[in-house]
Amino acid sequence: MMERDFGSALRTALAGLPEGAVESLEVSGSVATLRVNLGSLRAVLESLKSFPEAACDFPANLTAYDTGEEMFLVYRLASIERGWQALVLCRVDRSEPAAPSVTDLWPGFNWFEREVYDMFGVRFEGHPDLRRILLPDDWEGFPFRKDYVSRPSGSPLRGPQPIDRGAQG
Amino acid sequence: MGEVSPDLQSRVVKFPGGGVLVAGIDEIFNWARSNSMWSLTFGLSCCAIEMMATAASHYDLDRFGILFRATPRQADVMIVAGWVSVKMAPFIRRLYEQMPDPKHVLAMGGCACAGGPYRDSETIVKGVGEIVPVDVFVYGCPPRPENLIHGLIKLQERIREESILGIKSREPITVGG
Amino acid sequence: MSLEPRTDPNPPTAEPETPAKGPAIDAQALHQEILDLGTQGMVMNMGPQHPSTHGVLRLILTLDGEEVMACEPMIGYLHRGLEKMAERRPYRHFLPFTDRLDYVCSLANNLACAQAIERLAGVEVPERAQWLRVALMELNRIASHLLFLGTFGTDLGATTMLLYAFREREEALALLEAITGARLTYNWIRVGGLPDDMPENWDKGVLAFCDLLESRLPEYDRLLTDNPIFRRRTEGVGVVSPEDAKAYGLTGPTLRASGVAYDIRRWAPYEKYAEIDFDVVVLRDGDTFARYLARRLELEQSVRILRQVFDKLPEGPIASKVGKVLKPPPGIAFSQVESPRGELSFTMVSDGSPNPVRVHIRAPSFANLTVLADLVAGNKVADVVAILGSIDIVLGEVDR
Repeated sequence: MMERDFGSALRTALAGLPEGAVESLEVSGSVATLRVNLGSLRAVLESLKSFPEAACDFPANLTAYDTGEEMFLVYRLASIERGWQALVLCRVDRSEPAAPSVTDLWPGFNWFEREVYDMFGVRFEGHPDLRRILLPDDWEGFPFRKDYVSRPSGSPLRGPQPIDRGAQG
Repeated sequence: MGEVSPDLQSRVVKFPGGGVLVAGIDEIFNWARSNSMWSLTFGLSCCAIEMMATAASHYDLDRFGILFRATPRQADVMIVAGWVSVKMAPFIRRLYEQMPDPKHVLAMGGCACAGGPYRDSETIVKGVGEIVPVDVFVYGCPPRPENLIHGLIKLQERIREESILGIKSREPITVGG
Repeated sequence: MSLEPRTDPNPPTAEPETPAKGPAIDAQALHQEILDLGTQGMVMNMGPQHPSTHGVLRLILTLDGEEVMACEPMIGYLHRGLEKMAERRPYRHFLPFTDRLDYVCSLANNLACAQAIERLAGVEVPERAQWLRVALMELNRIASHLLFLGTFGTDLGATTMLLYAFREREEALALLEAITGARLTYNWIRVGGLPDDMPENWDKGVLAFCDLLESRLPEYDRLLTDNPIFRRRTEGVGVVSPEDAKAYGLTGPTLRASGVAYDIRRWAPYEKYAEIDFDVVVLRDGDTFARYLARRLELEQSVRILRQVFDKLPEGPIASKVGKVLKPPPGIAFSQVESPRGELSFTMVSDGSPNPVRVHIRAPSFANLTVLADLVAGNKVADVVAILGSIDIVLGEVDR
């Protein structure tokens, strides 16, 4: 059974980590959802990649979300050979969001980390070139945070532009 | 090339030999300009794909004399096809300034006309008309190739009414609204 | 200015130590001075308005003559903040916006968004709708790959291909217009199924199109695949090893051209792909030509899939009933769809309210573009265009 094999493979890969690193681990079908604490995030991701039992070496996705009270990072790593994937959720400090960068493990996450910084303000320590990627360089604020306030500029050549709320779907 | 009718007298400049020369030149110039509108390849997003489809084999813009030039220095028309973001806006203005006169702008698609579905986005300029003067607005999301051709023909009609003395009507035409 | 032929008083000789005339010069010092001059790379800006950047992409190239020393892609010229706009609307109201992400293959985005909402809310899709979704996806894949063939040829100067590819693409768009009503931004996938069934004889039209396309494939091969100039420009250019391809998170034909067999339709089948017989196109070389050939061969596989869909299409409802207000239970869910560019995935977070907390769009072009900077270093400027074209990006989904 995929679930059982995947579950036991993950437990083997994460066995060497300190107590409390992984707050919860659920496997449903071929997707495992892990909640880890920030201090062990890097160790968990490294273990998932390097342990041949887990072999989650494909960087599928990296994003974040903000509920207004909490901010989470969401990593999705896949193992192309084994056919399973791990969704890793990690809470970061909402007032001063920071996390270790994984660009040395997966160069594919370089731009994903820049985008999370651009939209949420999460500083990835160890990132070679952490700057805005989608918004103009002189933008103030991090728009995807729930406490972001838009202050329209007066010119169409500079942002932010005025929002027409009457046009909401 | 035809006779000077009384209503053209107001556009005629007295040259030695008579004003017939100016009206004749206007018609020749306008015929040449309207039938060879070289457009800047300025597709920004989805409307660009429909613009390419309009230029390609099935709808064929080449039969109107319209072909696409990559450099603004050789373009007469700028077809702004797609949404205009704040980061892109200064480049659009610069490209417009780099085009030699007489030049025209055709805003293709709801986004270039008025911001389209992104009116509640902070990074989108609500219509390229806020940055450059637009001659023809072609609505649609994306406008069908027939709509775009309609807009281009309206632009051709506008060009045929121009004069080399530089007097142009700036009232924009709207198509497919 | 004198019109007499000018002679160089100091013609260069094989040994620079002995000049023909003049006072004695310390040749060693002169030689060293020339070596110390040093050269500078030239910084050239490519885009954001450029015929070959496939949209508004800006590349800052540092050149040593014609060779690229470094490349810095700059994106964001089409950023609309769609993910933020999704948070202001109910779940289903976001579907029309998804068309405008990867606007060359709109149905893939519609499907990925609808699938994510269906997984979050636990909505089942009827059988007939699943089969028709497969047909729509493959027809859209054909249209997208035809556009790729045309624009890739044009980037390299083979402009004839654009006209031939668009000729067939118009046929595919006519079929899609017959069922959805639109040519480019279809918005024809709903949460729980499709808005309406297919029209009369639509299946016959699709099968006739399949025959037409297969008859035209030899023409494309004559124009591009077997064209010696095209081969010289694309073979061996921009080689990506399988390890690098996986480390950079490449997906789609860009990854499969490097030998990694990862196709979501086979790896994590959705809709009815598990019941369809087709091959995943995987090539070994990893160069620009392999990336082109992967898409060219996928055309044939899509035709193969389309032919099987209508044999197995069952009768039944076209959509399952979903309430007026959709409030999925709190949680996080994601969808994975194989778009013509790679793995397209929507991640949605719900807190039980009618609007989502977060919608994240994992666009394949965004991930595929990360490899460009390292790939073009050491190549010539002309190869930059070939490599960029072969990665096949759509800036609408890169910037969102």
